[in-house]
Amino acid sequence: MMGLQSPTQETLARLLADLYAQPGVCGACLQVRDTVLIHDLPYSDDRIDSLAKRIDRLIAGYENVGRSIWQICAGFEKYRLLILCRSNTRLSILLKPETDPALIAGRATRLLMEVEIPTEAAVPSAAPAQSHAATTPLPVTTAGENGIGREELEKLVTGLLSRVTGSVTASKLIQRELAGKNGSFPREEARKLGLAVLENIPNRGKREALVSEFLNALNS
Amino acid sequence: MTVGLLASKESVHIRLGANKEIVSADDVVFEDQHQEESRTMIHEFEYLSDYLEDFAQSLSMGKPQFVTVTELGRQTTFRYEADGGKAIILTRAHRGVEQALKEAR
Repeated sequence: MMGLQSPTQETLARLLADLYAQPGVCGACLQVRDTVLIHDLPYSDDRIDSLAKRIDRLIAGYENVGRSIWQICAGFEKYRLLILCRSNTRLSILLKPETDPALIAGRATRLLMEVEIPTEAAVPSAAPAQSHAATTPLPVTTAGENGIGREELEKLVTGLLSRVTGSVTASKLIQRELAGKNGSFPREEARKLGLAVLENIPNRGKREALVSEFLNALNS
Repeated sequence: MTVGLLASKESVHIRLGANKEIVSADDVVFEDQHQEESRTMIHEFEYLSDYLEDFAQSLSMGKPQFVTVTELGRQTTFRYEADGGKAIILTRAHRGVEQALKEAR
């Protein structure tokens, strides 16, 4: 979370730039519903506005039938287009075709969590990443107020961890992390505990993918 | 999520011909109670294809090759085949794109 500070265009640009720490990222676009907040994709603003509207319609088609989509990854001959969704915010990332989207998804999910936009919030004007003129602050929300029970957290993390390790090992790792902790955890604490357990997965790609899934599940 | 097609299986495969007819599929697809969901998945591929072709054209990305859709408790991979057919794989687990594509072959 961004804390009490609302993210400005400069902050958003910095967050998008963070995606480039992973090789293979060609550009990204952050939008709320069909309005572009910021982008650094190698296309004109008009073309990106049009893309954002189509992406929103695509996601809305699923939402209209009660399906809440976390991620869409589309592969083309020249690029891959990774679209991550969180509430009313969508982050689209253009990748080189040889890039593993799972490696990008974890980092991108964290970015989305930092810029979560309330549904009823006024959407600021679009601006390209290169522009530092616009400094309209964006509203942010705090973490979900509802806690999560130990049993529920254990079930969630066990389900994820058991895909990459034996159930006995998974159980030991979880029990070690949750030792002495009972009752209900605030979301932030649950997030830290879950991430600490998943940190034990040695394979980076698998770890990033499961972390991404964990964060989505925790906040859905 | 263990409902519908994934109620009794970890993954479900459907292969479509160039004319969108089912060439092969897991038995569960043909069970009466799952036919509507199976048809919806085939329709979903058409829905996604329209968008993919649109993205491909407007962003000059080349022909679409696949798309994966990830949601709570399920991941669906749609893959374009070289012969004009299409493969669909529905899984309970969220798999990496590369693994999902391998399974769709």
